[in-house]
Amino acid sequence: MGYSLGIDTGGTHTDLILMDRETGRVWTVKVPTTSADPLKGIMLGIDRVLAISGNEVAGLDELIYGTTLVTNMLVQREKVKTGLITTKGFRDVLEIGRAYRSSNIYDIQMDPPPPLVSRDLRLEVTERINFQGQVLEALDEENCRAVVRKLKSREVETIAVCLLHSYINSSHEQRIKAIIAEEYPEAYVSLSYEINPVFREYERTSTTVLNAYVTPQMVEHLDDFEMQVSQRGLQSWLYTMQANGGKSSFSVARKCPVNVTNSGPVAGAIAGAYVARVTGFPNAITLDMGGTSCDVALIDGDNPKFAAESNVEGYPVQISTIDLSIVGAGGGSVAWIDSGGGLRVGPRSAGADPGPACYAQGGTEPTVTDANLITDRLNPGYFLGGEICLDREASKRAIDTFIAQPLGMTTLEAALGILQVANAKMIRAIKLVSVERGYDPHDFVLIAFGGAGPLHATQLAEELEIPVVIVPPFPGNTSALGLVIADMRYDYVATQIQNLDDVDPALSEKTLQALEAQAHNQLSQEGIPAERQCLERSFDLRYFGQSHELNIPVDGQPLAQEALHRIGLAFHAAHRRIHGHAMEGDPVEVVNYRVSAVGTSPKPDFAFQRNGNQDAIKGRRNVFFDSGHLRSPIYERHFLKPGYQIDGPAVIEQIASTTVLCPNQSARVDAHGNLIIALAEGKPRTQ
Amino acid sequence: MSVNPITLEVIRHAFESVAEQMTAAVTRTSYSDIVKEGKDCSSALFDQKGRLIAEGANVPIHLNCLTPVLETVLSHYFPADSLAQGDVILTNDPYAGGDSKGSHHTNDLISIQPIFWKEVLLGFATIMVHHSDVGGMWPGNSAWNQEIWQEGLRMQPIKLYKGGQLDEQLLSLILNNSRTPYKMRGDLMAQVSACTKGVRAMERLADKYGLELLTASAEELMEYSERQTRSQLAKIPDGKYEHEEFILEDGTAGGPYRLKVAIEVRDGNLSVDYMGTDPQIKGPINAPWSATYSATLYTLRCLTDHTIPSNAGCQRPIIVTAPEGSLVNCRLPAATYQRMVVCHSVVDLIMGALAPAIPDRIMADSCGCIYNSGTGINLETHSRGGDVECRQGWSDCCSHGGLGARATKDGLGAMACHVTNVANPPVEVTEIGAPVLVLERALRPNSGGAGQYRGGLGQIYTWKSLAHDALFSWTSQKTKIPPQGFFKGKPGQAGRWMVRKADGEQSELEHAIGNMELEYGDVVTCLMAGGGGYGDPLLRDPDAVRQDVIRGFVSIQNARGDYGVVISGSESYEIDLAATEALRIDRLTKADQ
Repeated sequence: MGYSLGIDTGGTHTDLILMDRETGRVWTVKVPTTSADPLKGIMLGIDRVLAISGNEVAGLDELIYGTTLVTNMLVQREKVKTGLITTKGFRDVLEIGRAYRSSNIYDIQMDPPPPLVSRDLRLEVTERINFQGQVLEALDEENCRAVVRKLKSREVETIAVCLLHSYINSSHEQRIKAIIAEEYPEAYVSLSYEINPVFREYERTSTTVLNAYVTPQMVEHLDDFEMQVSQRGLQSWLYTMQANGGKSSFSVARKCPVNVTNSGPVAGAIAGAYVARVTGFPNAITLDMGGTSCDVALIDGDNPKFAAESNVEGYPVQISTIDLSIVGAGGGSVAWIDSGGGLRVGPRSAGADPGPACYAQGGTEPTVTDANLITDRLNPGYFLGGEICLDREASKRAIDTFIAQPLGMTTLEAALGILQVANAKMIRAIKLVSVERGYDPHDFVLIAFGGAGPLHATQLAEELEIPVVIVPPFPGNTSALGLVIADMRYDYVATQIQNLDDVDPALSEKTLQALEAQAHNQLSQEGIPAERQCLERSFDLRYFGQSHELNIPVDGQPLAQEALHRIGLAFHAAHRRIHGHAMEGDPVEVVNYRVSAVGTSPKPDFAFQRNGNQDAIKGRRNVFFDSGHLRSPIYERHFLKPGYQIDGPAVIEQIASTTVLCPNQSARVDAHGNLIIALAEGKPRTQ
Repeated sequence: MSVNPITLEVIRHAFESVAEQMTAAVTRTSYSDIVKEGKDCSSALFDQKGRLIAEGANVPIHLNCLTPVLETVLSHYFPADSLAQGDVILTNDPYAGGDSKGSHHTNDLISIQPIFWKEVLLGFATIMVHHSDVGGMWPGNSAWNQEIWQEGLRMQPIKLYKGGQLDEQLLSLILNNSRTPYKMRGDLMAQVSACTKGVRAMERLADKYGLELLTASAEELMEYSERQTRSQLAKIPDGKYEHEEFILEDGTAGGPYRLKVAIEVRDGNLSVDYMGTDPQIKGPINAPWSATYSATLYTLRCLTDHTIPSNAGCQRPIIVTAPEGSLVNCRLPAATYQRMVVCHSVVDLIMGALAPAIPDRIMADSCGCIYNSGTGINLETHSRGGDVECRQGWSDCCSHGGLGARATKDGLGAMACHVTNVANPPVEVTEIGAPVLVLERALRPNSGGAGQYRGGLGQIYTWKSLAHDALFSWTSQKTKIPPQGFFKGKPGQAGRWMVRKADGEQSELEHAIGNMELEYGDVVTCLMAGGGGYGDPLLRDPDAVRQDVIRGFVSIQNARGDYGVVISGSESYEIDLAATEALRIDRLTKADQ
């Protein structure tokens, strides 16, 4: 056993958590994110956390990094000279895309995000493979060499290759890779077959291009990271968090950086799943609300749900990713009035600079944080543990000027309005991952974290009739906790479209075993012993004719006819549950075989040290709820011992977060230090 | 009862997410390409009086159509008190009720489900889905139909489900009249399940908020949208604005035919009158009133504020009148399958009329309607599915040409045009599903109309039939009169169709609409029109012209000819600033004389 360090770089803060895997003891640090050079803030954080823990650096044997580099590069439109090689006739697929207006059909002023590879760097090679994988036209190698030389002369750093139907026959893509290695060995290469061997050329091209585009910077960044870490004398395994919720080694992340998308928010979902497990609530919705956004994920039977499709900043990516719903509702989100007199919140955020009006750093517009201050849910003298002293008058001015006066409301009414509109957005985000996927929020608990999550969670739960809210011990560092407890995870897929009835179990078994062999090799290379390797099989199935599949998990037994029959029945049942009907008479089609390889990490029982001698109640103040001002006790979270009971209304404060308990709600501290809050009618179903 | 603005916002989100959820459910579970890949389906929620309260928008032309259809159903067929929980009404008849206030064409099946809460009618959940075949002369109805009876089975509003019980006989009657019964059944079940999902979600909302609050909220949301729409319309200077457009301008079926509009704006009210539009013709391009109404409201939504919540309030300040028996308000027995030809022109017609009034909001002319579809049989490669004898269909390019330039921006290239907002299917999906080999999907160089802001590029789409007994049908517009530019902007390139026979003989198709049989190996190329430009091309930023040349959107010759920008022929594409300035001054002087 040894020490694990998780580092989560958010938009405003970088959170670190150091864990002693033997004792479960943790140390946390929060430092400002240094956007211009993120490593500066990260290294400062590392030095600090090691200092406060007194840990010998040599004992730090793994470091897991959640980064927003992929999203940042896209948001900032970094110029990376990227080339694309396609089948003759199809270089514009990337620019044409699916060619419809998906956000608002009436918005004729919209522009899709510009293609990441401009047209002069998209070149074509003569070749053609058909949908059955047959070569209709061989690859013209001379033509291909000329194309590569041209990209070299145009100084591209990185090349994506995506040919039609390569998901079923990759020979031409592989040959092109070999030719690039001969003609232009300095270039990074991303093959669609290696990145995303799934049909639908636009989405596959987009994924491959995105991978190629972020590769040079990601490689450089991870190299620098590794160097600076080793300069500190640390000899650790280095991992990044991936969109699929598992960590992967830096070496895999360098080859397939597109998988590192959404690294931070995903860590929150993993932490949520962990909290769900230790508290005994296998079905949970996680709510991670920070300064600019609120990230929501759904945990079903202890595991986060995965999405079928996703996009990053408008660019579709087909990677295995935890289903996240991200809305622009954070503590810094700005409240405003639209031209019809409607109250809106976000998506624009005041961020950390100038920050909410109450930071008194030059911000004049009202934010969600200002509204929380005006309603006395926040303590002006104890924000970030007293690091910033909040200016209540500034909040009042901002809310009066921009909201209360135009709407003819009192300051308090306007503040409450801002909170309720922000809550409405979060409710929609929660419904996206639950109601819209066929899950009833009433059957779930809400796990709230991030600096602002616990401020809002209890009200959201009332609105959605979620019976229980859980606030983990360190809400402000929970995402980083997700990093240190994450398993290693790699996903493998093979597309073979066939009627389930026609599937030869022996051949499918071979396909799955080939994927498993790849998975096994990868885990072994990274030092995961066989007993900690866990391989999961699943099928993507649909009715013949459909375009969207459902993922059906399959046990690890060798496939037999009988098992295929059972898989078909499981599909009908899942289709009925999710979509409301099943077409039992129609043929079921296999589309993809999948293997997920998991290298499990030990998850210690955290030991939370509480000093039980001090009085947890540190004062009282009037807090404004829907029903008016209520005199509420203020608790210091740090002094709450396991078993402690609190009845609402109450406010529970701690260094990086504040939990609001509404009237008729009651909270209990469990053995792990979690706050388990029961709503009026709701009763915890287990434990 | 007045609802506080916060609860209102919460309920608005709830309504919208129910409607969006219904649309998403259809695309996730349907069987035919046009729905599952093209997303040719839309949902809407109505209150108990049949007023729109929210929409799940995919295809603009569908949406406001559901309003007149529901009105027709309630007033002529099933009054509200004849409905019970679990009923599903189905209709696809453009002439239901006698006028043309039904479905737009027979392929669009509309399902309507009443929503009850504690035995009180709360509203209606409705979905419109384009079904791939409902009979008719040609597969998918894509022939030159001359009357409605050639467009397949026509269903006046009927109950497919009564109190939750499926009428199996009726279903079998419907499926028997389709060439693709398997797909149709899959799509219908997807449609009904999605609609039911909407009903359940609305019931849950009523459980939570109660009937009174929901009704009051719907009422206030409509008033809010009406207020917003009026305040937007008030920004259009009062006056009368007229314009005309021509369809079938290449002479197809006796064309060209005239569309005419007069728009009057007074104090936040706006009336649109199509008086002067030519009478309906013996061909499938006539628009039922409901289609004209949708196209009109769509365009006005684009020209106001797209973020206004979509509901009946947006419709209130707008009055649409159209002469009976005309191209924009046809009567039995006119065929209507390709009413989009008229509907796309209606968009350009209104934009053109309002251009002098609101030059900063309109868009120059766009490519209009483009359909490109084939069907055929190849048992060796595609023996599964399809209709009788495994006939498989493929289609592409539902109007993905160039859109017009805007006041401060270039037009979008290869983008779903206005009232069609259908996604293009992936080449790989097309080839997996049908015996066709796609040879090219590309942007069409030089096709965007020159202007200070350039029109969007059209698309080139080429495919080879690998089928036997193949049928090909095509529709496009603007082959003789290309999409026009505004304020000195130049027109985009006109559309063209080419066929290269397997024996090498190549020909250009004479008309922009038609159908023919193909041999195995025949190659079809569609060159889609580009959008019109906006503003004088001589005022375009030379650097933007250079970027267009580097990307191959504009040739060096056209940079000089259209834009007066002189660019060197080498790889560096340097602008010759002196030559450019001289050329531009010379042209501007000549233009002034």
